[in-house]
Amino acid sequence: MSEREKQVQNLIRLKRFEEPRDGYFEDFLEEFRSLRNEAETSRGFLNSRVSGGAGNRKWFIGAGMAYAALLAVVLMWPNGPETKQDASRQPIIFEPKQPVRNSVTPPKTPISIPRP
Amino acid sequence: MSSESTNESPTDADELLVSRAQSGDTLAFDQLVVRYSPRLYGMIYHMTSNKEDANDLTQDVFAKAYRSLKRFRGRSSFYTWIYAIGTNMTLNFLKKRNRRAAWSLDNLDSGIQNDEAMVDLAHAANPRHQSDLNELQKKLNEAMQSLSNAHRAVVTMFDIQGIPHAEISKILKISEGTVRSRLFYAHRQLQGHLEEFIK
Repeated sequence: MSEREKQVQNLIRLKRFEEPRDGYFEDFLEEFRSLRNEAETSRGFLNSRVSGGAGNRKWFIGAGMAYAALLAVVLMWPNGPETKQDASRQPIIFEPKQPVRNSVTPPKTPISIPRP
Repeated sequence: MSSESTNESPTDADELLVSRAQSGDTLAFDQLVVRYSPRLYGMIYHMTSNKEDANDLTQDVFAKAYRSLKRFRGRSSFYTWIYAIGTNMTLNFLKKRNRRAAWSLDNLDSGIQNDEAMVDLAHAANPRHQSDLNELQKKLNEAMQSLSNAHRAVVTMFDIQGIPHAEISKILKISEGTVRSRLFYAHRQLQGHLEEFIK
């Protein structure tokens, strides 16, 4: 290891003196205990915390409600796929259009011009 | 970060605590939290450079470990296992976070300037700059943040926390050679950022 690399290491090692305030880890343990107690009273709390927190849960609930509303609209729609078929309705048949003919057609008989 | 110093074998003590915790003894798990929260918090703090994020992530790591403890079979030490959870969660968090926007020097711990050990070490590192610890701290953090997440992880564990290469390779599930090459590359990058503090 070069001298310069050793100096870099010595400088970076100074960061180990960046420590939280006194008593921080006692408070940390208390916070952990209270979270665990909450989890034991309402199951799944820790699970939701690990998988992304309360924010994700809101999205799941919102998405579920939107899906239910959409399903209700589809089922209640009068012309939806589940409605009874009207027997009087005839299927619409599309026929090809006749080709358009030129409206100016030559007369069958020659035009006679009356002479004075 | 302060490292734990006990005379008993940490692995044996951990095995006993894990076994008790797996049987439902919450106090045993609390002792594991006491034992490992300083180191885990330190690793996450140096990776994120943000106290709030470090606090929340460390809580999440212990929450996940608590939930997954029944599945822990002891193939590795508890220390390696929980560190692997911690590094994976931190790396995933950093991928999602816009690191540059979230990082602020205001979030750094204050009071370091009055730390005698810090002053001594800074003096040993370079007497010319001992009076400007604020600047040094700022530069150190900038230098750390300039590294990729993968390189910062090995620098944090090896240089700051003193974890051996072999242990880091187990935690990150990479070869020892990769650990060494990442360290070498990271040190070269750091030299460029800390040029003014190197003799």
